[in-house]
Amino acid sequence: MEGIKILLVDDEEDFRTTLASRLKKRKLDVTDAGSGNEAIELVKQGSFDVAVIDVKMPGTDGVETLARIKEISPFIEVIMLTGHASVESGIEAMKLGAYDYIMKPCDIDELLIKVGDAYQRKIFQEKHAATIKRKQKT
Amino acid sequence: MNKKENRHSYYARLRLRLMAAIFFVAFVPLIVLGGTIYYHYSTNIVLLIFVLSTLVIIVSTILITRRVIGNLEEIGRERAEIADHLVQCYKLAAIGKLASSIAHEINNPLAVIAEKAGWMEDLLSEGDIKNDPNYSELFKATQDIKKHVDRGKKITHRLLGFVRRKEIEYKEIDVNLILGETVYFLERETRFRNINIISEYQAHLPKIFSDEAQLQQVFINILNNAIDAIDKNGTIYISTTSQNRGVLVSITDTGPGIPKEVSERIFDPFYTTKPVGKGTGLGLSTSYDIVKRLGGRMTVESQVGKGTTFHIMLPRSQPGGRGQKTEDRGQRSEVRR
Ligand SMILES: Nc1ncnc2c1ncn2[C@@H]1O[C@H](COP(=O)(O)OP(=O)(O)OP(=O)(O)O)[C@@H](O)[C@H]1O
Ligand SMILES: [Mg+2]
Repeated sequence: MEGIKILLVDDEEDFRTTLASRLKKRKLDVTDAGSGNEAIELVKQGSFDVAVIDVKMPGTDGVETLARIKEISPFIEVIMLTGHASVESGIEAMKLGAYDYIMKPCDIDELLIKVGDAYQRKIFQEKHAATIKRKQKT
Repeated sequence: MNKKENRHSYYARLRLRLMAAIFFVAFVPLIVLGGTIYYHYSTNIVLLIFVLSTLVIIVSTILITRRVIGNLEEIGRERAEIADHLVQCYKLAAIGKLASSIAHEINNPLAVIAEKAGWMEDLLSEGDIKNDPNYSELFKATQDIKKHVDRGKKITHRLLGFVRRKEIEYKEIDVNLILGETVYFLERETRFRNINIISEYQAHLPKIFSDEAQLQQVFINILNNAIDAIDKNGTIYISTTSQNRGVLVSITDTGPGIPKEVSERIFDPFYTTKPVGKGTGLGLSTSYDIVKRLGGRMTVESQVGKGTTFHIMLPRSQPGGRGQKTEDRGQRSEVRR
């Protein structure tokens, strides 16, 4: 778990900063963003393993942010935070390539488990892609 | 209830009028005809025929009216049932909209509160504070906050799910199997309360096309209600029967039953007779909604002091009509929309 690079995106500041502190306390490397656009900029600059994104945000909403982030950096795994009547958006997001979704208020242990799993998949996908590339070269 | 009695006396009056009318229409020509004949040939045989035909007219009048009014009454009852059903649907839709926006507004602050309490708990686990005399109180307070956030969360999530439940996933399912699983979930609870569950599942029950997870939700809600109603020491009977158009599931409990004033409202969202914090009053309204979406019907029958039965009628194929064909051919075990 330690050192997984997480991008936490939510417009509700109290929620975002507190959850970020809690994740940092559990030795995860957390960066937080208050809007979809801010998150997209951050992804352009740095590399992240897992993004945790709120579905319902003003401006660029969670589902759109997910799509843009995936375009920029296809290997980032995304977990959607839902709470609004968005069980459906949660599923919609998964169709668009999100790894999973979690309902707010969320249980930190559940979130950690999902983050861990998402990270595993990211590592696997990257390796897989590297192998394919190598095969294509030879 | 009152409505029903009114309806009944209405049909009784209608019946009398119809009977009078038919009788009159048939009897007047008879008298005229009979009178004329008797006037010419006044014999006993003519009198006898006259009396006999009067009897025949009376009997057939009674038979015809009974038949006609019976049919009318049935049509009326069906219409009233459909109207009740529609009202229920409108109510659910209107309340659903309102509920989802409220639930959303409450859910966000709830999420913040939960995080803050979690953060306090995290901080409390650090070295020094543990020796503080107030530590255990503080720790307990964070746990209590979490517990109550969970309580609120249960309600908001139910409400959110109530409006936009996830898509229905149709596949071929065995209702007996789902019931078995559900009972298994609840077994510890029932054993603890000394509640006996008697399952009378029809063997070789035809499979139906429906949504397994959502049906399970319905059965859990109804069984939980039955358990709450019985409280301790009692029996729950679960039966399945194959019917023409699908499968009928009946769940009967030996609880206190439901008085009329209550039974009229049990499918309303938020209607509960349970203490605050125990019931949300959403169990049955959600279940009603699910069964309706699956193309089925849910009804209740109860006798105060004896117990309550919930009937859930589930169609064999999904509302769009698919499924039946696939089943007939016996191919493809899964159909998804
Ligand atoms: N089997 C039953 N026997 C007697 N009363 C019942 C039974 N099932 C339901 N009721 C009555 O119907 C009311 C509404 O039931 P419903 O399941 O919708 O809500 P609830 O059980 O009170 O709350 P929740 O299901 O959210 O915990 C109950 O409060 C109870 O009064
Ligand atoms: Mg209930």
